[in-house]
Amino acid sequence: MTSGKRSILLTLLALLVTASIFVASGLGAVKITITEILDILLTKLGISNGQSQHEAVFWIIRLPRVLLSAFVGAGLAISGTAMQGIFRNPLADPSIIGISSGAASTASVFIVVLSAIMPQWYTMWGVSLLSIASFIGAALTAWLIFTISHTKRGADLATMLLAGIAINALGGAITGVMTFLADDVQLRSLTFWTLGSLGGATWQSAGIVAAITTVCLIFLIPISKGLNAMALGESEALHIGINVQSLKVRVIILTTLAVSATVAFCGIIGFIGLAVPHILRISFSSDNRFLLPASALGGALLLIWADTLSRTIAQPAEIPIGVITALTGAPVFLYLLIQQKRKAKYA
Amino acid sequence: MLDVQNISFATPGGKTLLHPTSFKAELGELIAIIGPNGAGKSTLLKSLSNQLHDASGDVFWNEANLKNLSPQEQALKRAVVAQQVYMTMEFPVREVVLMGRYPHFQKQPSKHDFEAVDWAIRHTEVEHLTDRSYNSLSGGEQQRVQIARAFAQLHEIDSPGLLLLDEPLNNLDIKHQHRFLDRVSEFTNQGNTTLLVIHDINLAALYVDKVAILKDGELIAFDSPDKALTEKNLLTAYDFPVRVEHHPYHDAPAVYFGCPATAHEKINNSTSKQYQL
Repeated sequence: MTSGKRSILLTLLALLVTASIFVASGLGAVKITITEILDILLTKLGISNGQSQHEAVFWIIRLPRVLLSAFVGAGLAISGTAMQGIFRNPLADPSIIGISSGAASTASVFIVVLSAIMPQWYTMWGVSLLSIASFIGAALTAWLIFTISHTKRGADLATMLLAGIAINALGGAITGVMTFLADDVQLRSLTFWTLGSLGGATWQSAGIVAAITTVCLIFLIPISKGLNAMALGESEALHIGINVQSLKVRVIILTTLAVSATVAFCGIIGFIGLAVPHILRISFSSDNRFLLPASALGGALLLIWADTLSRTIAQPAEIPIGVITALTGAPVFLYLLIQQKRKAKYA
Repeated sequence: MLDVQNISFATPGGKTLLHPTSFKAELGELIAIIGPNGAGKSTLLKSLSNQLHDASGDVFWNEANLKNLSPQEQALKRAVVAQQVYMTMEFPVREVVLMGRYPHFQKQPSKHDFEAVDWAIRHTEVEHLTDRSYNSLSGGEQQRVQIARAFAQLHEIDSPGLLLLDEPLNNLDIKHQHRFLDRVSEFTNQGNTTLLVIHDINLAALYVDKVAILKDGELIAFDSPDKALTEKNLLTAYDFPVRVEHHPYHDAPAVYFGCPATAHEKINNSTSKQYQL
């Protein structure tokens, strides 16, 4: 892909994301028109002096939620892209190989145990401690999967997926035990983890996830060349000057960071990291110089609309976001598996 | 100059794949590494490309110890083509060749990088494949694309280049085997050094300056083709009756396996009798 074509596509995607943020913030139980949104934004900037009745809905509920979904989608999609690069496999996805579930089960243990032992701490530092707990859970799982499935020729697909199944089952069981032990308040917060929801969005959570996703992008974009080279094989990448070891460490740390941040605020949202890079690869190019930024934008786009769907389709109730992403992502996953099987036949 | 000093390798299980081996290769020398399966040919090549972390010994390329260079610094001096490269993602051939230029640029390839890619593509005659997906190519075509990638990598570098090839002719047809060896000798004659693992000894004898024969992880001969390719050395290495004569059309030895040894090179009556066919 030429750099000219790449810039055009990325610009188009960026415009689409921006437009979606506005349109999606207007949709919901209370409809807000684009002119109203612009009026509210101008008022916030002190330029205009409008008095929209929907200011609170837009500013406190809608906008942070849409922004959070954009950054969560971006973070999950770039994590998927980068992991697929170092695992040398298009099936690597934080939720499939169990990283999300590792983060969520650690967090659920944390919620139940900490709120029982030290309730004051929990109310004061809950959110930040929870993020740390889910990061540790995600990091341990990532390391475990990588060690188990690592072979000389890249990650072994069967081992990786089986390890993922085992870890997902274990994570599910741990969360199950915690559900059993939990009281009503804790229970509500546990359901939120396992099914995933963007309903708890605040400016604070949107800001933290935005910061982490941006950091990941800043450090991942420069290694897109290295991720391309990894497609040739680890030793081949080394021979064309890629420091493979540091590449892997960097990707594992950054994706773990991104995944655990999204899990800490929104629970498990699966398949984004799988579907978005895959769709972009078959429609445009596998070149990571395009794929990384494009996945960020594509992930944002997909999750903005998935979340809009989840909160509008059965108004006033909300369908868990994980249901929507699984409905779109699972077919993509199955398609990928069939593809891989075909390829293996001729390889 | 390539200066290999006491390089050796054993598996974590304690099996020695390569006994301490030392040799020197001058600039402008094309060297064939031959030997039976499991003789340590690929192990030798891998230890020269710093792929074996626990290989002991040192490899100097123009006075610089390769161990002390970063992967990028090494990649600017040395290109490696492995036996078969299967890619896990779909990439067009042109992008694969461009990967050879990765050590040369940071973010965006320069005009010079694109020129090197175009040159390598023409040089290896893969122009008709440039827009195809690498994974859709046949084994021989993939091999030629990898060779193009290696040529692009070492194109117009400012110091001598080292090219390491592991059975590069595997899937190539006769014409492309010869074309490829022509290109490699041309490259080598420009003041570079090339080592290639090869099974076709007669083909190697036509092109190479030196032959290294490996047997059970030991270098049993390292010399010009007519001195290294003796019936004695080949019988020792391959454990199979062999006759060496002078090539009728070229100034090179011609090796015939499965024939009784010539009279003047009876190695040892008892062994050669064993192989009377």
